[in-house]
Amino acid sequence: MSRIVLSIDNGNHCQEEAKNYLSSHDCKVYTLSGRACQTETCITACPREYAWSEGEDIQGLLAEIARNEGRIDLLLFGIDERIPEDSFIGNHDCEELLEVLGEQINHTQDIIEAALPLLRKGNLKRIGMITKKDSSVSYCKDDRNYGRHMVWAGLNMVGKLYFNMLRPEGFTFRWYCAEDNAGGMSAGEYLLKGLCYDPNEPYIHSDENRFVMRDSYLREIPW
Amino acid sequence: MKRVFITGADRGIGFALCRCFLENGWQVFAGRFMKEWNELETLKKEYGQRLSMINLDVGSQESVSQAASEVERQTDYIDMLVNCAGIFRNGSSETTVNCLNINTVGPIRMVEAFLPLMKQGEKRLCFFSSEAASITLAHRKGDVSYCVSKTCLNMAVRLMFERLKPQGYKFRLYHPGWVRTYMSGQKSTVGNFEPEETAAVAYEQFTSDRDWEDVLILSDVSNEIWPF
Repeated sequence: MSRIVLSIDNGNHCQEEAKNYLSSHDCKVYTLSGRACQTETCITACPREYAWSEGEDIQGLLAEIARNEGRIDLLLFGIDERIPEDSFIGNHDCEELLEVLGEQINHTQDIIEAALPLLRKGNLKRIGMITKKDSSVSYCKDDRNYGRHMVWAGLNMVGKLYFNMLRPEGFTFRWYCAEDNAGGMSAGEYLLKGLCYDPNEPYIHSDENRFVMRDSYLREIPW
Repeated sequence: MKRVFITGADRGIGFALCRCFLENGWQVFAGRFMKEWNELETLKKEYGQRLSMINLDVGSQESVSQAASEVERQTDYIDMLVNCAGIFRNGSSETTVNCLNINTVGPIRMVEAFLPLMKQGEKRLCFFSSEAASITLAHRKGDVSYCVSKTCLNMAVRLMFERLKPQGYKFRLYHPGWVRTYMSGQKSTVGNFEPEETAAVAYEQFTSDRDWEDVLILSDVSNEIWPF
């Protein structure tokens, strides 16, 4: 049976590759994006500029998915690399920073909430994020681009809180760190992979019961 | 005499910290948000010139700039900036923006405005974070607005740390524990600590040196370390 994927595109190159992988591995990918989709099974809807789309855009697409498929198996996000670059401490337009933070965090949460009814009917019940190691407070060594880094870290926390809320319902989560020219396992493959899970074992004995971020070599990146 | 600026000084932990620093001989600049709250007035009567009350709303760029200008009129430099002001709100897109404005962007506004006053002195930047910011250990099933605002603060402090550490700045990122504070508007009747208890620990952590100032940690009221 085909997997039904809803991809919320943010100009993330790795996400494009992941969609291509998913499309060629028995997934039907719906895309909320302003960019044309490359694969036949993709359905492009609701063109969107940098400013977040209005609520009715995602609602319209979800209504279409509900009519066509009746479910979503994987809701896929990618971090937004189009967030404007900014400088190091001492040089910020703080109102602009606040606007970017509010828009990105609220929009992501709004989409998850809107998609939950269809995700609950899905087979995978999975939420995925293609992010970067620089989203990690522990790992990051950068000293600028506050907007990007804070949004990326904030979205990791959003993921963890939804993990806490939804894991008891059987939801699963995949947080993947993309790197340019990296080998290892592709984002698309990791997004579909199962992680060990045995409901009869102690909770901590199942990897599916942990919210972790991994790179293409499946090394865990600390938060 | 060493000089500290403390935000959110009207009441709760911020007020307790003001008293703590004053008792230890510091000149305190107290960021005052609530003119109708008069606890700082009583402290002023006790400590006189060593306490300066500065009107401050960390959610307003104009207010932060005016506060920095006022402090600059009174002193050449400050040794330490303590970012204590914070709110706890949840439930809507608007509350998320409010939390981000006060808890995350507020400290960035403060650091940017006060850095010119910190080129001499002890160069200490202190931030009140929270266990709620720890993605590793987050157990909550809600409180998105507050948790995200504190995680974003931790990331902002990381970026500041990487930039300013080579310039001699030292950083403190502190989780005060579950404190009976006014974070939700009224003083909480539940919690494990009174503001004075966690302020005393914060004072020790903020003013003492570490052999490993090149490591950014989130430490708590029990002097234990939290993962990010």
